[in-house]
Amino acid sequence: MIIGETGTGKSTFINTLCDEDVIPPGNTSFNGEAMCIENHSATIFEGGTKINLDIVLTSGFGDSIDNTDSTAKLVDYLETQFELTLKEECRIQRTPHFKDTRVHAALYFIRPTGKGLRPLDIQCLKALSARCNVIPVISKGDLLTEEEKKLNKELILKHINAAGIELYDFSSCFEDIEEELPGFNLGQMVPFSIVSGTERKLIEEIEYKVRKLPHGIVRVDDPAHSDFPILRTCLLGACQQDLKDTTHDIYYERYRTKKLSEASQKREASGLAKTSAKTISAK
Amino acid sequence: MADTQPQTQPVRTTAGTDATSLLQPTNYVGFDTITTQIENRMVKRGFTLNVMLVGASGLGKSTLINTLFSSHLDDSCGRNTVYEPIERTPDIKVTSHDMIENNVILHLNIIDTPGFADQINNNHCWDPLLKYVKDQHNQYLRRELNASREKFIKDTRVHCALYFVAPNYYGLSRLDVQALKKLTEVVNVVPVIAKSDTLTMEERANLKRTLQDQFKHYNLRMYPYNNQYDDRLTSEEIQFNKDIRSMLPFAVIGSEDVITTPKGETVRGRRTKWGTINVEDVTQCEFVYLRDFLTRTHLYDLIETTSLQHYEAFRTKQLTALRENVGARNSSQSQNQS
Repeated sequence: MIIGETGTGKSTFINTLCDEDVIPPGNTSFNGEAMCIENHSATIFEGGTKINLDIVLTSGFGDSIDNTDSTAKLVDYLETQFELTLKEECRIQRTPHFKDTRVHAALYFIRPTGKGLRPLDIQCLKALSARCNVIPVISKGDLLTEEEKKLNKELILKHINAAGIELYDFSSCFEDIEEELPGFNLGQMVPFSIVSGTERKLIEEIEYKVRKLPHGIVRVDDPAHSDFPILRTCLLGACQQDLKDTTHDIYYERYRTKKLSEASQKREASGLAKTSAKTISAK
Repeated sequence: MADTQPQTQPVRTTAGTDATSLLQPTNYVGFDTITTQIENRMVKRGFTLNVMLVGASGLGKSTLINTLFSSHLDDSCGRNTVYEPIERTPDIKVTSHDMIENNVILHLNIIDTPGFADQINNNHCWDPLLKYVKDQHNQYLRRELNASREKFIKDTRVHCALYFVAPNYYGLSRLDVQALKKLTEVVNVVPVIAKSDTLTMEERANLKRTLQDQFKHYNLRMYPYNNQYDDRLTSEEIQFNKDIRSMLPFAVIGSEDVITTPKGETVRGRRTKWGTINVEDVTQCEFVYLRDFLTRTHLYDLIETTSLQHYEAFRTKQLTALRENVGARNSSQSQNQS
């Protein structure tokens, strides 16, 4: 799931990730009144395996003047997916090839302002982190110089810790990451600062995906310029299975426990009411 | 000056008076030195400029104003520690500085608006700004109407509001449109595309076009105003204004840091791994145009337009309302008496 205000570069990111124009550029218009959640799908080949990527895009998040119910809509969507899976599990005759629509990872796009998180960001992240794996991402990283990037990351982490938001823990798949990207300390990299771009340019006989700015060319694939390749490897390669496992073992279980205990409490309450009604009528 | 010929020459003046009624004296009188006399007086008194910075936090407002006036004037506001409250209500922060350049004193007041567009519900976050602008007009009016008033009333009216637009592809957000609608009615608004180093040339051109279309669509009057019949301006100035309007809004980058470019020059700019940006380079950003526009060509016009247009409109409204109130009271009193 990809969440962020309009203009933070979500569509460009998806197109860069999938190497094709999944979402046609310039498509997301601004005229929609309310926030809506769109589903797209794409196929990516990563390390020889075919991955079916289901992308949930929130368009219009945080765009109104009054954004008090944006977070509620997101939470609603997440819980609906859990609900569908729960229902499916409880069915006597299960459907074969049931499509898992639970959100395995939520990429939250933060504006590169250098001021950390805004109130809407904190509210949304809190709500999301209780229900799925949250990976914060600083979009449009080409705005920040090296020092600003470091400062911004530190500030955002401080805000996140102060608000008590649980992020996805990459340490569980460190060994896999070490294999694929040696020498990167993932713990210090979160939140990732990415630059997305779909143009291609030949630099020194290697074709790179780039973003052409008036003062220079940003190499999107280069880990020194942007954290995009690291994020891609984590999402699609090393941590893919772990993301799914955590979603099922932790967040889905949490939801399931809550739902079932609510249901049993209701039954108890109505059961008590029935027995007390019986005793009254017996007397 | 040499002796001039008697009155047959047609003289064009900016005041638009009838050309043939102007006399040119046969001998040089010397009243044209009044311009120097005025200059000396004004230099002694100094000028006041009040600039309001409007935009969401993190768009580089304080950095830009520091770059514009080439001095550290304003500190960026922001949540630097986690102990500050998360939601700030929109506030007004005024800092004053007296700057001197070549014996000309400029009293600069920077009106910062921390907390604008920062909350979850941003309804009416522009109200404190409008209130501030109106309050300054009000204060000036009261001082003017005072029976014993000061010789030179301190001018705290907002002369210019720099509105910072985020560098997106879609232009104005809904909040921007609402805030601009209200602001352009009471103050000179100059829109600016902030942090434009994140835009490619193509994106920048597209954004400018989108913004200009949106200004037209929502009927937002941006400074400089399109007054064809403004008799204060020469035709060159009107043409110049037209050129500026086609370039609006300026795509700017602000920076107080001094860096060395690969060519070896020491300039103000930003350095990233993929290139260096020189703030004063017109091929990279339009900071120079904005600076020249605000300080070198239109500084006086900003002050004058505020006084002659916005303040006069406010004054007319207030005084007619006052007269109506007094009239209503008088008529009700006379009714009670009779």
